[in-house]
Amino acid sequence: MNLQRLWLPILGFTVILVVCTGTLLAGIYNRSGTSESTLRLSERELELPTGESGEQENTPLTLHLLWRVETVDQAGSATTEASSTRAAWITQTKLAELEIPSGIRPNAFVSTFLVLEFDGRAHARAVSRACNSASPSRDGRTCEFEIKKSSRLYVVDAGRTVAELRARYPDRAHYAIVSGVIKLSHDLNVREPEGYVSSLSLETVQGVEPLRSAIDPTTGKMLWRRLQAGHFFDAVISFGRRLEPWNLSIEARESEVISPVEMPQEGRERGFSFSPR
Amino acid sequence: MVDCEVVTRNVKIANVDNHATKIATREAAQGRIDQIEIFERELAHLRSDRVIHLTDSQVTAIEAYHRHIIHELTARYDADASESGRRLSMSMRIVSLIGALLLGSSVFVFFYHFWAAFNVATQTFLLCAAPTSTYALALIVRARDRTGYFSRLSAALCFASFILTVVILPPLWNINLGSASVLSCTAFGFILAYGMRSRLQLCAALIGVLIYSAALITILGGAPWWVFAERPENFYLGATMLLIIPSLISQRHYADFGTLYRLIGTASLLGIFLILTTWPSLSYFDYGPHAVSAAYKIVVLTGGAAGIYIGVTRQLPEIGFLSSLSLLILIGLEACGWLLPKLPAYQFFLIMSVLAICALYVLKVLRRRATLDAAGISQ
Repeated sequence: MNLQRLWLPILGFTVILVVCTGTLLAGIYNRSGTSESTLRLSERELELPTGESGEQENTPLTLHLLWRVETVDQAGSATTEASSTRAAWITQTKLAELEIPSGIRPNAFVSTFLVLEFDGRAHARAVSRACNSASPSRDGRTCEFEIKKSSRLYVVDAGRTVAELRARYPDRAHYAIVSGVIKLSHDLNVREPEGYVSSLSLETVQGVEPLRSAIDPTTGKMLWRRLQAGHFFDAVISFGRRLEPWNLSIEARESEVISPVEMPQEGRERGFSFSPR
Repeated sequence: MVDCEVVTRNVKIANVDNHATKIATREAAQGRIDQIEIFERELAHLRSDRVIHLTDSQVTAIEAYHRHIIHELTARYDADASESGRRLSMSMRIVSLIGALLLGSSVFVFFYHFWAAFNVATQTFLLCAAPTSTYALALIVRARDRTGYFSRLSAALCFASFILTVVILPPLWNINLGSASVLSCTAFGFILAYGMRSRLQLCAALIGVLIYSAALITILGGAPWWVFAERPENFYLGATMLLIIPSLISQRHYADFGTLYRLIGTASLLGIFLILTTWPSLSYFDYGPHAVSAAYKIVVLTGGAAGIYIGVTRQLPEIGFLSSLSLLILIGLEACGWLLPKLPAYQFFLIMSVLAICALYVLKVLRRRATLDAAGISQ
C-alpha cells in the first residue's frame, strides 16, 4: 500500500471525522447524567428569532438568552445594553476573590464562571425600584414593563470554580452556572475598577421541535411576525456538564407571566418564587 | 558526422518522455516550456551575432526535441505554449477564483435558505455529509483534472462546506468549540492547499495559523480566545513561524507557496510594528505610550532596512517590497505628523523628495550588488 498516495484522503477524512464526531460527542457528554441546573424560562428571557433579515432565510429554532445585570442604583439593565452596563457586583473585593490583579489594564477581558439568577432578588429589586411610588422618577410604563415584559434573568456573581459557586447558590432551579467573560475598565474619577459582563460562552439555545409549528409547512416561511400578539411560551432550559444550555421542552401559554410587586424581604434567598402553571 | 548527429537526435527524442515524466505539476511544465522559449530566443541571438555555429541538422534536431517536449507537456498538463494561451490561462485562473468564491457562497446560501425545513437529525446529517461528500468529489476531480483549475474549484467548495459545518454544527448541539474551530479550519485548509496545490486555501490556512497562535497566547493570559486581536503582539508567534517555515521545510514542489508564507509573515510582522507605532496603548509593554511608540519606530526602521537587505541579497522580492512599503508608510506618517505642521509646504515636499532620492540611491546600490553577485563578479 502506497501511504504517500493515501495521505491526502486519510488526513482529510480524519479531520472531518474528528470535527463531526467530536462535536456530537461533546453535545452528548453535556447532556449526559444529571443537569447542572434547570431553569423554567419564558418569552421574557428567551427571544424568538424576529426574521428581520428576511423571513424565509433564517434559523427559526434559535432562541437567544436575554440576560441583564443589576446596575449600581439597583435598576436592571436593558437586555440589549447588558454587556455595556456597569455591573454593580463587580467590585475591588470581587476582583480580589477572582484573583485578578488590581493593576489590570483597561479593557481587559477575563474568562470566568458566572451565575445566572432567574426571578430572584436582583429582579425583585429592579421591580420595586421601578414601581416604588415614593420615588420621584417613577414611571408607570417602566413599572409595567418590569412587571410584565422584562427579562428576569440576571448575571449576579462570578467565581473561580463551579463548586465554590454552587456552594453559594445551591438552588439549581433558579441559579445556573455558566462560562462567560467579564470586561474590566477603570473609573478614572474614583480610581476604582469598572466591571462589565461581556458575554456568556453560549447565548443561544436551539429550540426543540414544537417551535416548528410556527413555520408555514408549505412555504417554510417563518410566522413569528404574524404571531407577535400573544405569543407566550414556557421553555425548560437545562445546563449540562459543560455548563452549556439546551432546550428540554417548550409549551405555548395563553397569557403573559406577571411579576408581583413586592419588596424583597431581608435575608430571604429569593425575592419571588416561581409558581408553576 | 551527419549519422552521428541523427543518432544524437534520436537519443534525445527518445529521452523526451523521461524528461517529461520527471515533471510532476502544471507549474513545472509551464516553467519548462518558458525555459525552452527563452533558450530559443537566446540561441537565435547567438547565431545572428555569430557567437556559435550550428549546422542546419543540429538546429533541426534541437527544434524537433523541443517541439516534442512542448507537445508532450501541453498534452499532459495543458500547459500554454503561446502568449495568448498564457493570457487566457490567467483569465481562467481569475475566473476559477471568482467561481470558487461564488460556489462557496452558493453552498452557504443554499443551506441558509432551506435550513428551517429540516429537523435536527437531518440538519446534523447534512452538515456531516457536506464536507465528506465534497471532499470525496475534490479527490475524484483532482485525479482526473490535468489543469488543476477544477480541482482547485472543488477544493474551494469543500472548504466552504467544512467551514459551514464548523460554524453551524456546534450551536446546533449547543456546544461552544472555542478556538478549536479555528484550529480545525486551519488544519483542513493546509490539507486542501497541499493536496490540491491551491494558493487560496493556503492563504486561508496561513491566516488561520496567525489567528490560532494569537488565540493560544490570549487564552494563556486568562482571556477568552476571541479577543486575540486586542493586542497586536499576540500575532508575533504566528508571523515568525510563517517566516521560518519555508526555510526549514522546502516548498519548491509547490509553486508560490514559499512566497505566500513569506508574504503573509512579513506583512503581519511589519503591520504589527506599524500599528503599535500609531497605537502604542495596544502593546503589552507598559512603559508609557511615547516610549513604546518610539521603540516600535526604531523597530520598523531597523526591521525595514534588514528586510530590504534580505530581500535584495537573497532574491526574495516580496520581503524587499513589503519592507520598503513599511518604511515608506512610517516616514510618511512621521512626516505628516510633525514635519508638515512645522515647515512651509515647499520645504516639506523638498525634504520628502530628497529622502526619496536617498532611498532610491540605497536601493540602487543594493540592486547593483545583487546583480554582481548573481553574475559571479566580485568587486
